[in-house]
Amino acid sequence: MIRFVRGAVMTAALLGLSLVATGCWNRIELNELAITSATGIDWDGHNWIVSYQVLIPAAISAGVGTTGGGTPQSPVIVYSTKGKSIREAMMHSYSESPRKLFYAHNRVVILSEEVARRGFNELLDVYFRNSGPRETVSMLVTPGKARRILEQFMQLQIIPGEGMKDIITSEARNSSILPNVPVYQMAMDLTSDAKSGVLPEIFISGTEDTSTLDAFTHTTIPSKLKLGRLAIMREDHMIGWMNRKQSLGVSFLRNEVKQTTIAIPCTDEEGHSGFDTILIQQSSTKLKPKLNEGKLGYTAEVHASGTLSESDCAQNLYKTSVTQKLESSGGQQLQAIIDGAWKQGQQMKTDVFGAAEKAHRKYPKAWKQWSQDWGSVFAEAPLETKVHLRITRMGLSNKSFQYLTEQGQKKGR
Amino acid sequence: MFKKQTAGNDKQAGDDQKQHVEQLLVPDLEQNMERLERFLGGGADIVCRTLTHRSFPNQRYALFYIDGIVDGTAIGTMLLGLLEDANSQATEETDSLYTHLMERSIAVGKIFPATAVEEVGYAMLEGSSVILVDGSLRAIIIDTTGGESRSVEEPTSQTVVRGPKEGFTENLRTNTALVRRIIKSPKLRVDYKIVGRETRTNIAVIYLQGIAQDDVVKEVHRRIEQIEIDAILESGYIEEFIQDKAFTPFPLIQNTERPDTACASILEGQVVIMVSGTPFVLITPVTFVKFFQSSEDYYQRYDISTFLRLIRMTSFFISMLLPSLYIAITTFHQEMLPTSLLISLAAQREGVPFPALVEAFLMEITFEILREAGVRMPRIIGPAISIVGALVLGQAAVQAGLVSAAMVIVVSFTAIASFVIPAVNMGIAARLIRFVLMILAGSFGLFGIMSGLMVLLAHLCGLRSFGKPYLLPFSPLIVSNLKDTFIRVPWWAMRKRPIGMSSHQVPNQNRIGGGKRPDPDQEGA
Amino acid sequence: MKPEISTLQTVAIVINTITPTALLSIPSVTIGFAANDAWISVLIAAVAGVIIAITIAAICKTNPGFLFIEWMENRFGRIVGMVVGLLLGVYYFNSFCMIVRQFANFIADMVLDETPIVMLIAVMVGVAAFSIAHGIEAVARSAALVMFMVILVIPVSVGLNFDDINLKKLLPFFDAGTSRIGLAAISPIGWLSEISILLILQPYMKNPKSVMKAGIIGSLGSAAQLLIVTVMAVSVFGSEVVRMMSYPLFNMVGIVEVGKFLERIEIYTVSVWGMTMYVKMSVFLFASVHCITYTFRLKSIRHTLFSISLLAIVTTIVTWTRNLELGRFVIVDSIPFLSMFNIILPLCIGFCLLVTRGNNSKKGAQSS
Repeated sequence: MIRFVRGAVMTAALLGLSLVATGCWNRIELNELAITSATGIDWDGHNWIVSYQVLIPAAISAGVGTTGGGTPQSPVIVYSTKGKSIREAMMHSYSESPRKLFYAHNRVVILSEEVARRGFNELLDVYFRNSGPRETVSMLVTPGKARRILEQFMQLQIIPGEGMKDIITSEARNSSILPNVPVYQMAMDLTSDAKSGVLPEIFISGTEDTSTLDAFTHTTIPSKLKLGRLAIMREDHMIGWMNRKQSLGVSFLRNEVKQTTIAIPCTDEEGHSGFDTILIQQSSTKLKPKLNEGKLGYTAEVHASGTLSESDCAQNLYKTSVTQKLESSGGQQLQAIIDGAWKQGQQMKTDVFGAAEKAHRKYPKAWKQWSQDWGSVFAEAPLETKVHLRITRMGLSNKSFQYLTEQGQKKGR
Repeated sequence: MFKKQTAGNDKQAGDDQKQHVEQLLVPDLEQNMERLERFLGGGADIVCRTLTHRSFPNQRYALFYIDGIVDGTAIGTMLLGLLEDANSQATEETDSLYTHLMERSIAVGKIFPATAVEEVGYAMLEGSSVILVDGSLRAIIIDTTGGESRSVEEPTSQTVVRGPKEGFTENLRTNTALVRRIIKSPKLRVDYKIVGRETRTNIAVIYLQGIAQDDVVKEVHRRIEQIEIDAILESGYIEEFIQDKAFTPFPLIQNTERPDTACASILEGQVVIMVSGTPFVLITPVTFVKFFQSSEDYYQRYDISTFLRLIRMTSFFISMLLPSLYIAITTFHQEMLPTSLLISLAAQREGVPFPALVEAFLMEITFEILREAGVRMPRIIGPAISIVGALVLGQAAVQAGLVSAAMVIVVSFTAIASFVIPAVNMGIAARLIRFVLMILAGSFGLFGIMSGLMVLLAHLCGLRSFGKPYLLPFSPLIVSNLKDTFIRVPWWAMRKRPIGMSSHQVPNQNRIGGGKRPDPDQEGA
Repeated sequence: MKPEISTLQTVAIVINTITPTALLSIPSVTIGFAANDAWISVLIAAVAGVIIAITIAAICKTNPGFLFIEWMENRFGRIVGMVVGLLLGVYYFNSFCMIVRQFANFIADMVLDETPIVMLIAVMVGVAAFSIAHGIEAVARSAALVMFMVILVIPVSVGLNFDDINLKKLLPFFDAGTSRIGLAAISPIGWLSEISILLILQPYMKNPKSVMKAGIIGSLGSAAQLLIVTVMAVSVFGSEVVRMMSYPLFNMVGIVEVGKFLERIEIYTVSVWGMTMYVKMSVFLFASVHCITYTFRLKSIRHTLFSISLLAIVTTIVTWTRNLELGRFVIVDSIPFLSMFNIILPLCIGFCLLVTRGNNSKKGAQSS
């Protein structure tokens, strides 16, 4: 009995204590959060300038532009703070924001080219050291100021930060030219044997800014956010760009192609020339190192298969010779793309293809020597590309429309 | 029955003896009548009818009973028989009026003699009639127990779609009969006890000999015998006295209104305790999962039963955890929410003045008040509660800016989930724990919930019901018992009684004979 | 009634005693030394762990059924028994404090950085003490249930990380060099040696003969968990990035993204892992209370428990004022500490048992 009472009293006391104690410490209510959807990092030569795209939940959930029929309200607000370090800059946000910045729903971090060229180890450290921001944030590089990217509205997506993430993931899935690079991927790439990585570029196409809601009263918005080239990083700083064609080659060599489209020039018997378009739906690349008289070389074997998604030339696709020709010229085109990327990489002395890792695994002993000056070893290594392209499906029609019209003309004669 | 009862009486009387000497009957009828009246304290409902017999003109005898608690028809028949007999001539062998009455003239099945005034008086309080005979040291007690009682109706607290619609009543005899009618086995034991100084409540302990574990049965008897209390009005009194541990939110003894549930438990080796005056019988020893099983699970197909059991288990966790998880996630771990959900929750919270914890408490307590009001208020004004309830726990509260819409959904869903659990007392446990977890979640987030659950787990692991571990088939793990826990396998696959609950004797373990399942093909051919 | 622990529950206790803290530090420590060959180190450690388990179990088997401290006193006299009991009591108490602090630091790092660490510690010690108050049996049962939960969670987390796992990152084998691989094995061996808890648990077993089985399965199970986590850490992140992570296990779950709705699920893993941590704390607290109670022949276990818990809260707060110190302690200094009490002390006991066996059998013959 006494124990019962004692137990009851103890429990009540503990609960009471927690009731009193609650209401401080880490608890933070949803309406005390400033949810950031995108972060921009700029460098003015001495200081970091960190910009945040902060969501305004009420404006978003009410739908863009209308809150209670009143004046239209922007769904996001952008502001910047400055500091000697990234975290210090973030700290300065407390002196201007009524709410606490909350990074867990941050989707993208935009680096200005300046920052990328200077180096951004500090940023990676921030991401791994603190539990707030997540390592799955996508990294992007922009040629101008990162802040300007955050200020842009986007079509269809209310939250621009989320929209940017959507663009890059959908791009990586559907055309595979630029990869989606989360922070942890970047860190892994930069610490890997090759010590180099890639980042996609985002830029504003068009001259004006789409930074007011007024822009959405028209069917055409003055400017758009667009993905562009591929930034090449070596040892934490950017050393140059690769164009979109080379970038596709990089994707092939890194075996990151999920789906892409290539257009192959063709001519038919009539001398009419056009393009056959192949949707590559499945592709795998095996990059293998080999030793040729003590010199390192590579073979890249690509197995790709796809669907013919458009055909301009008058061809009878029932004929195997036609498809074979198609496959071989497609293969050649892919080979050119891949070789071009490799050459560019060698020129930059930057191995963004993961070739170092492969060499390390296959020739662990020789690697110790190569790793001293991997850039030069890599620049000397020849690449032998073999592409096996298979067109597995023709889509829903077996003959090109061009072919039909030409046949009709012949009959008509 | 009465034999045992007299034994109980003796014990009770023995206790009383310490205070005053037991009064034995004397040959004088008038004196006996006076003493009996004094013992019972008189009263308008005590009926006394004196009669004389034609063969024994000098000896009178008196019929006593308490009106209302006796079976009117039985009294009528008996009186008719007595009167008829009084007018006829007794045969010569009859030596005394007492023997004559005892052997020849009472038209009721169960009669027996008594010698003490108290014994007679207590028998009358039980509903028996008494014949006091002039010149005899013994009285005749006639079992005429009866009177008005509720008939067997459909149980209200545990309803089923398929299954028997009988429910226990307040009448102990009816209840034992309901069980006897289902289990017609000679091994069925019904032990009677009387508990309560003033109420002298009849209690029946029912089990299957050889299938129930002997030490459990012995323990049940021992614990019931140790109860010393003035009154037992409901089986809840017994439950609190005999459960293994007092300081726990979890029920350690199951109760049911359904004879089929009680019988199923008896057949699995459990012991059923019935208390006169309540339709709720107790089942013990019991394990945690039992509270999530409904008798209907065994009548429906095993697949749907399994599904429903999983739903119930989920509901239990929802009703226990959902508000605290909501608090923890929205105030500590916002990163776990999908962005769009976070935004809409944040938008709803704009302008809500209270922190999430207070908001949740407010709503939960509102709901508990509503629920209690729904149970207590007269049926006629029922609709009023639902109308007003929908206002305080609904859109109106949201529009008034008191709470956020998401919180209303959380609280309502929690409430609905808590109704799914078949055992009301387990639902109550979840309700209490919910509040504790909410506070923990409010101070430590998920870490608090985790710590709370760990305490709960350790507590559950330490609980015992009549010596049986509460989490039985899971911890300690008994793989073969898992067939009838959160899942229910088809009947023909449950060949044995649950190990651990029932007797260890191997022949008693088997439920299903060697043939297992009738083979449809052979039957068809 | 004497509490009884089944063999399965013993295995569960052993696994839950070894893995929780080991899972935190092992991946970064072993990978730090042996890079992508860390898994070889863990395998070596597993073999060593099984050998330790067999040794300990063999010592246990000579116990005729007394509680550990009583047994020591019976065999070697009151003074030796007291010394052993006191040493072990202090060791388990220290380890308990260390574990609590480690857990508290972890929780503070992960989520509750503003909550005073005193509160966290108090809650943790409170929960552990509450479990112990229900007896070792309740702890054993909850250990078994928690183990099932862990067994359910592991395949899920492997499955969710499936896309990121690249087993080729384990290549080339033996790249780090034998000495580094060997060096990396020391830390997991230290953790696996915690199996010496069997010395104290064995008298409580329902079937004390099966202690060998429980020990071997327990150490293999723990080693398997360590192996899975190490292999996953290397194959997901490669050997370089892991070095900068304090808790690679949770970083791994942290990068999981299933669609747009299932992200940041490491908190669930943390919850299940936290449960194992609680079991571990309970076991260590139990061991220390047990040793101290029987060494000093105290009457009330409850009061001992209460005072030791209070002492633990104070010690934990005062001893390590900075998290960094503990981190260093766990990784570097704890190894000799662990092996001292988990390997050398049992070996001494075993040796003494061997030496005194002749004596004892004579004594036994006389007494019987």
